[in-house]
Amino acid sequence: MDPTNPNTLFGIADFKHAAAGSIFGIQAGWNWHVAPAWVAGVEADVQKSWQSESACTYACLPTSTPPALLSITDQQSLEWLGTARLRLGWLSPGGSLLYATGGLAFGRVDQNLSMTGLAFFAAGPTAGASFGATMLGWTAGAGVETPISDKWSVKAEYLYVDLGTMSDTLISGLSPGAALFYGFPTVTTTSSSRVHDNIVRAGLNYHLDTVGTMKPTPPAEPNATSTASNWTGFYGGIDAGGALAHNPTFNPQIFGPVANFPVAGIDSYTHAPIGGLIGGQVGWNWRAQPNWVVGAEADLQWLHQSDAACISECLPLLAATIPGILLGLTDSESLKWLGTARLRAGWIAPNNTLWYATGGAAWSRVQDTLTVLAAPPFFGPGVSPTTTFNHDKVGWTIGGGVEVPMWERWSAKLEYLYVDLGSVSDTAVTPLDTPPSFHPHS
Amino acid sequence: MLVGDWVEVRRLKQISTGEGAFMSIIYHSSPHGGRKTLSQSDGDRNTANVLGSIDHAYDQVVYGLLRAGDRHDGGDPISSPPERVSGRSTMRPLFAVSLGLLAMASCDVAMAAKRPVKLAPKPLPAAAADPWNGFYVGVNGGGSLSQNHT
Repeated sequence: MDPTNPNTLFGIADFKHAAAGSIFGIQAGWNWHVAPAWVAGVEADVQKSWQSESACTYACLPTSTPPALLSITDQQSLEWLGTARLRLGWLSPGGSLLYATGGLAFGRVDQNLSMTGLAFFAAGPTAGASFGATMLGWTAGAGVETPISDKWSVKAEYLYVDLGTMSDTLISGLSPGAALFYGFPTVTTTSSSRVHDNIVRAGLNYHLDTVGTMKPTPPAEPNATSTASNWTGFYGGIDAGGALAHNPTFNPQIFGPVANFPVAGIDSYTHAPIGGLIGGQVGWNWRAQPNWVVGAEADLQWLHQSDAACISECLPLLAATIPGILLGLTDSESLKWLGTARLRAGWIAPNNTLWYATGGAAWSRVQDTLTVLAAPPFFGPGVSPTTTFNHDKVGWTIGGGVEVPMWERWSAKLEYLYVDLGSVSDTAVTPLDTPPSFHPHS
Repeated sequence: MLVGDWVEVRRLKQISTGEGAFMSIIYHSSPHGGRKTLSQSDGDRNTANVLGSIDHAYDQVVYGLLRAGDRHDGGDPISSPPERVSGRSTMRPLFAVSLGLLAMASCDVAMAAKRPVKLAPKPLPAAAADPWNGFYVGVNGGGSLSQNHT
């Protein structure tokens, strides 16, 4: 097969691998209290990862007899991940460290490619291979760390990881019949994937050794206006951040009448809309116990989160008379806004930093756009190939965060929310205008 | 042409808008009466201060009334605190208690500030290990989500 010759291309799929999973690991580091309010340091960590995802798509066997699809399953997983980073942090008045971090990242990525096509491969109905690579890239992120005793501290952290591009090539021998039919003995499948990762984690640190001691500071005088650290009363604020979704998508292509299209296609992949958000929140805190706070919070964010997948389907028309042609399907998904109404319950650390869990209701607008493209005159004249669907969805959310008193009436928080909005189902029906020769009875 | 032929694209998906990391800046309104931020020891000291002032005010009221009553009865001036008052002044101390309670009810922090009970200065905390200097080890756990363009 000549990749530069479109006549020999079986199909191209362009989608996102949105692998999700948990991680667990260890870290070690060193802090240097460079100035009263500033801390620098280094940290290294290594984690076992259970992050994996499979995508299944179809390519067209253009002139196969009988018409058939070639299914391709691409499974990708992150086996482990390590980082070596610098940290630079600012100590809040209460003694929590708000830090930025960045450095090197490295990890092991495994990929399994498998293809299935009847009477197509020399080795049988299925051909495939496994690949693996230890990749080196970079990471950047931020976090909050709070001492909870003389030797222990807890932290919450976000890391963005870029491990670069992973490319694998699978060369499969064709069956004698297929080789004779197509005129080449092998088929080449290339997978190229850019590997990113978004990590949200919590950590517990034990401080083995300390150099010097903290300078004792006089106890803070009671301040009637220091309401941020009271954890009582109403509050309002703004928020900004990012969002990344993991939306498994199932796309059956149904052609009708079925007698004309004996083979349909089914794609299974994951939409991974990513983007920024900005919004605001209001809430109310009640200090139910000296070290415990409960409250309620509502927020609304503008979202700019979108993703598109482009899948080429095979239109396996009549056997022996009509060659198969490709049908392009572009599936775009975006989220326009997001609101939540949640309860909060939190623990106040000795330095008055609030660590909390939260959960409640969530709602959002989901917009899907389906576009089908094929060489004319496959669709009827004047038919729009694009259909847009809007869904206002209600679901639930759960998460956690840390909120640090900063100044008299101000605090800052770092929060993670998982949002589940259920499922959406769209159906686009597009009239066809096929050449007369495509019709079995013409 | 195939009249009535069509292609139907169906899609079913799960939607999770995501996993977001949010950074927020929050403004806190003033709680009722400007509730103070006090540590436990500060609170104890402040409470002692108020109550001490109340007791002091009560003593002053009772003591003053008793002195006035004694002068009215023509008795000997009372030079000792009310708890040492003899039985013949029973009714007046009861009245005085009532006044004392009223005084206590209307007593506020400002009054306490006028006549604070002198407490020993709070000692500075002992020098503690600096968690922001030196080595540390730890464990972590969480979730990861990738978006790998393929």
